[in-house]
Amino acid sequence: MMMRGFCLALAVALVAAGAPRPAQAMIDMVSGARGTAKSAALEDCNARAKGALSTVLTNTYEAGAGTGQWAASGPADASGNANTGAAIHCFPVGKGYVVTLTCAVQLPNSTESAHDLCGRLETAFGNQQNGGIAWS
Amino acid sequence: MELKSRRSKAFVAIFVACVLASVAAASSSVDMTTGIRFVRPTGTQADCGAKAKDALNAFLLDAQESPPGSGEWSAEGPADKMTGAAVLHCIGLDKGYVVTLTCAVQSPQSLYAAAALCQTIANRFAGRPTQPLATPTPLPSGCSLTNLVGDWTGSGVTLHMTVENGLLGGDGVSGSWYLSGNAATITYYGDHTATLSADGKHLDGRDYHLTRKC
Repeated sequence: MMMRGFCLALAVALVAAGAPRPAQAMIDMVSGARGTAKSAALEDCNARAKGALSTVLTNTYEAGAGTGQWAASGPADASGNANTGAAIHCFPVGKGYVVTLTCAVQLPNSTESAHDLCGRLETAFGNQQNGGIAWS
Repeated sequence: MELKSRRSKAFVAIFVACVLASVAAASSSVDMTTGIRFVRPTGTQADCGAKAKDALNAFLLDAQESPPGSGEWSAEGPADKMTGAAVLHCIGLDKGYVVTLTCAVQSPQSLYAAAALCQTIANRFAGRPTQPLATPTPLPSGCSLTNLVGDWTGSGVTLHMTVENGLLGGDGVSGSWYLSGNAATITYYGDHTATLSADGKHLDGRDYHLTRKC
């Protein structure tokens, strides 16, 4: 009986000593691709921004009505923390618009990098065939 | 027999919970915001880039344009802990340029919100006066009952404990500390429990008897 207790205590001590310490979280933030639509209304950009953010993330909002500056976060993890965020800026240029993507994730909590998140947003926003948007 | 089984199950549950708690990443979330957008009727994208670089470097570290010539500037910081980042997009127009700003910080690790970071960078970009961003609280000089920050000696060791729950031993080995009420856990060559005295000056446990310099 004593032997079993000793073995158990030893096992606990060994596992505790070898257990990894809490990971140090860090921000991974990138400027994503820049899209240009030569002939499209700003409303098109706003609708696409809202749609793309809502598809990929949660809590999409425009930072001031009519600003063309959209942001979203989440989804929240089990602790209620959002480990990802993204912003899309729409700005009219000529007869079309320019759209920029910015993404941030918290590593290692997020399962994907900011670069990958921006890639998904770019796909959700549209492309040359779907909206006449050229990404660079 | 049934009681023994229940105890075993309870022990396993507590043990698993402890292991999971020890490996979990620090609880925090991303605070992200879009900043002020400036439209300038004169100037070039290069002018915008120069201002963007200056504004980012004033509060963060090592502003980079990636790829070069793209007008997309980013930086991270501050130096002591990389808990914030910002991106400025400079877009050249036929006449002038537009610049957009996006900021993100880790909350609650960052001492300021993403909005404060963006506002400060925007002010610098625009040539307006800027207020310094919050900086780490100076090390407490007293024997606080709410943390273990300070220098401790005793039991043949010298330990420096930081506001970020870090610990550095006199032998260069690092660890961490945690305090709940007066129950302290010191991780330094394994985990050691100790009790913080009512005056905040002494830690007494099975392995260590330490006195804080304060």
